[in-house]
Amino acid sequence: MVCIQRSLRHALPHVLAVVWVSAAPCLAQHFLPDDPLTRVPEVAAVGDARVQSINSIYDFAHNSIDYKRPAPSKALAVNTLGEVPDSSWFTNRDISRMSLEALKKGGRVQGGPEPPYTVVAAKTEGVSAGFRLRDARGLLYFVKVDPETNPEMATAADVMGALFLYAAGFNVPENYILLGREQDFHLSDKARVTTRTGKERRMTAAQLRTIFDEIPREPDGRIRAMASLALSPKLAGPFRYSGVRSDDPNDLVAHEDRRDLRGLAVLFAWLNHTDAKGENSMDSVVGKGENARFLHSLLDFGDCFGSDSDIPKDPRHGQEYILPVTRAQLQRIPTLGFAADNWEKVHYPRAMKAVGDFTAVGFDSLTWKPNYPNPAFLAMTPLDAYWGAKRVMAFTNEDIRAIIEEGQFHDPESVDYITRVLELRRDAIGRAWFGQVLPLEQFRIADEHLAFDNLAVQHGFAQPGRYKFTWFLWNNDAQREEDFATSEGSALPYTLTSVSVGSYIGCRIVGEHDDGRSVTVYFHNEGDNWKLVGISRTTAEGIS
Amino acid sequence: MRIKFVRHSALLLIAGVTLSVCAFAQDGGGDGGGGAVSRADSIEAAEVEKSKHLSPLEPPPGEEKFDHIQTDILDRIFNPYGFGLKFGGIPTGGGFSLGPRYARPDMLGGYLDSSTFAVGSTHQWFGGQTSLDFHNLLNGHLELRTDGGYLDAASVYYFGEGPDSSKKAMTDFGREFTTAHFAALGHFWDQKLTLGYEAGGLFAHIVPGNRGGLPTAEQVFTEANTPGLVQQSNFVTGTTIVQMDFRREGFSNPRGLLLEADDSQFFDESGHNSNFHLLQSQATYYVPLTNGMRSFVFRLRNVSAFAENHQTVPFYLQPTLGGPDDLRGFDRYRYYGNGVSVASTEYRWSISQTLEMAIFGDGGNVYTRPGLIGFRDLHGDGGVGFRIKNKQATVMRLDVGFSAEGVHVWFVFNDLFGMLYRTF
Repeated sequence: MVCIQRSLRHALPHVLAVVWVSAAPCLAQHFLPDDPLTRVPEVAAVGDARVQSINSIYDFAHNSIDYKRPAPSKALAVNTLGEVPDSSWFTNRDISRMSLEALKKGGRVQGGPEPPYTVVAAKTEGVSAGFRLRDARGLLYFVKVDPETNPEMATAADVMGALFLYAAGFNVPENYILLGREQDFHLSDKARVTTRTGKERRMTAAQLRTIFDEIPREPDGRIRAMASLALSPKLAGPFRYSGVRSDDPNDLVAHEDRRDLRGLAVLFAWLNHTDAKGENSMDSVVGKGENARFLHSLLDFGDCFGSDSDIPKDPRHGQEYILPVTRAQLQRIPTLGFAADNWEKVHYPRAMKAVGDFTAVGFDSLTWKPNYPNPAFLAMTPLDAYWGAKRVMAFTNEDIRAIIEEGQFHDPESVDYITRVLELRRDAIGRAWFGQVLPLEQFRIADEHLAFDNLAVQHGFAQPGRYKFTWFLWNNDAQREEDFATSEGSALPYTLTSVSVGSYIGCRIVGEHDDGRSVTVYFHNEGDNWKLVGISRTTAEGIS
Repeated sequence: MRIKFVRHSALLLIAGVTLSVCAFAQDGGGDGGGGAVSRADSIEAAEVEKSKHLSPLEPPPGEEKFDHIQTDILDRIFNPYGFGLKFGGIPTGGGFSLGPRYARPDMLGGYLDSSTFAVGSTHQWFGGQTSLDFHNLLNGHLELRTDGGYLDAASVYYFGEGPDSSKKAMTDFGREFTTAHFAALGHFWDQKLTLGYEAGGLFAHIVPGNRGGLPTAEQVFTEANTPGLVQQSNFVTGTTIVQMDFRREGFSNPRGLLLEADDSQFFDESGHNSNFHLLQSQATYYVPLTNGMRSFVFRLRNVSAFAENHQTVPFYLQPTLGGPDDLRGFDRYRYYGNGVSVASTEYRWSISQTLEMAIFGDGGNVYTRPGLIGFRDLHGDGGVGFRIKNKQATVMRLDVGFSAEGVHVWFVFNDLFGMLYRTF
């Protein structure tokens, strides 16, 4: 009986996902009137939301020891274009249309803490020291600091990482660089500190003094820290990168199947955000009563770029898992380590303490790894990665620099260096993942010709090429292609120019080398125009 | 509750499948009219359906069990704060040891650590210690610590003094040390330089060893050739400590040089003419390669016992050679002498952040006269090791040493190239 119950419990997300599968693009598309969906409805109100906790030791051990890459499976929570609709997880933000000011601002609305600051608690969890404060307006901020050895490194990473991920579409807290004078900090009478024994007790001025003593200072004596505005007052704990929340009515798709979470691996690879564990996320409840909904946010970016929060990044970060679970790691046992990988020999800019250990040398976005296996990242297919790579490639050099400047580095060389490394890593990502699919976008039919852009060509990763087009009438009822017409050109075949309003047509595009990569696009005849309603892709390995 | 869950799951299963089928069946062929169901409608229906059958959060079954194990067992055993279990705490050779422990690292606003434990081992060694450590005083420049301890090492090997002692002459003895120490340490120059003085007392008691099948030391040796075998002393001790730590943090291992020396003066309070100095000096140098993913580590150590005129060094306080911390291809305490030198070299290569391997070589010799350094009577070994790492710290290591005296396997919970430590 227990087994049956457990089976059913495990089956639940998959059952619910069936609904989403019907909403997801298949190779044989079936279009509904509101396709492509741009926003997930999320109509059901959250009831009694409990706080989820993740056992960090178990999460690490289980995911490491039980490490295996699953068979490729279609991503869910996508629309018929293969894009991720807006939801409580993700918001489509068109980076190309965001001004530099908007990129620098990100989702930051309230502004940084305003003095005087009242320290209400000190946190002992986490790697780096930190505390909580309320500012003059009563807003609560979580404050983290830099290691003494690397001023600016972790605080800048936390701010910049949040801004990049916000622009890419994810929910993040409002992170600010806090430059405050020590006399503006006051200890609340009710301030509590969690001791190493796990007990809470009244925080003393001496303890605050100890924390301040370890904080690197600005040349003018001010304290530099990172202040993260608390999310909604109703926190529900972190989300997991697998399964669904059983108490969230709108959480229908197993998280490891969500394209936004799978494709997040590419963004994390770009930013070198290796601490990609469920614990570094937070579900919160926004709205009240019938309007109460979960909001799923990413947290804690202090280990992005060259920072590992309390120390510079270990060269193994991003290259290997912490536990020796891969064949490449185990092969080092008999070789005595004499065959060093390229990434092991990388030269880091150690003179720039604020940068930490960050480089594009040895970076391979196809093999990049977080600290330990993440179920959603393991399930990532080239199509998920392509989605993520498009987000990365949307950042221009100017965009990157604008966000890096928000790290408020004293040394302009640090800005230059991180910007340059991110440019190189971005291009490595585009080159790698745009090569896995036919990276065609912006499909439109104009003057009875199909037009599109090749992202690989656009970014200079490939030369313009020729394509083969196979046009067809799409029978949406039978989900069948009919009346094929192959052409060397992009012109709409004569037989399809006169289809009735409401009909669907499609076109399969393959490159001149026909290496298995293809894109099939579907249009709906809306009388005065052709509406793009579906895109399906296949990779060279036949993954669709 | 569970039956209800099954019923709900079953209903949901049917509803979900039905809904997904309906999504196709009702579709009007893309004409956007008639009875067509929209994509949003089908998702909304699923959300509403799930909202009727919400269940409380449950961690995955394995995690739930682990949570219980961690809370009820592991946290209580390994909890470094408060009551818990102490693993180890006696010198190597005592077997697996275990006992109760009470630790408080958070007293006086975090400036005072205290720890008390008592352990017994599978080889019937017993030990206990209580300690107080005031640290970070005077803005991190001053540390005061005091401890008192008792150790009953039931069977310590003794082969006789000097480099020519025969392995066949293996005997054992029991060694009871009761100690009390008080130390004041100054940390200067950004914590790179430590100077300190430690005053203490040692009550020694030597008894026959308890290992069956071996003759005991007093059956083979005499007080004449093994001072202290019959007449034990009580000592007042004073130790001067100097450490210069030029190491910097690394990834698998630190980098840089560590120089240490301490000189302990033993004042024999029992009138048995055992006043002497014990001088320990050690240099350890870490050379990282390929961003610290490989390292060469070199260590030179000399321990010399200088007896004053007409005085002797009791054999149970003589420097020794052999065992997991120096000559790994030899038995523990294989060689005794008033002068001991050992050089060790390791080449370490990282397998992962948590696993490191090493090939090593050790060479060392003992002299009956202290202060001699040379290659005469050199004993050497080589071997291979596995290390479980937590960043640059070694949590445990498995070393297999090969020498002319056989193969020795060591499974220990310390770093071979750790700091010098007090042996009494």
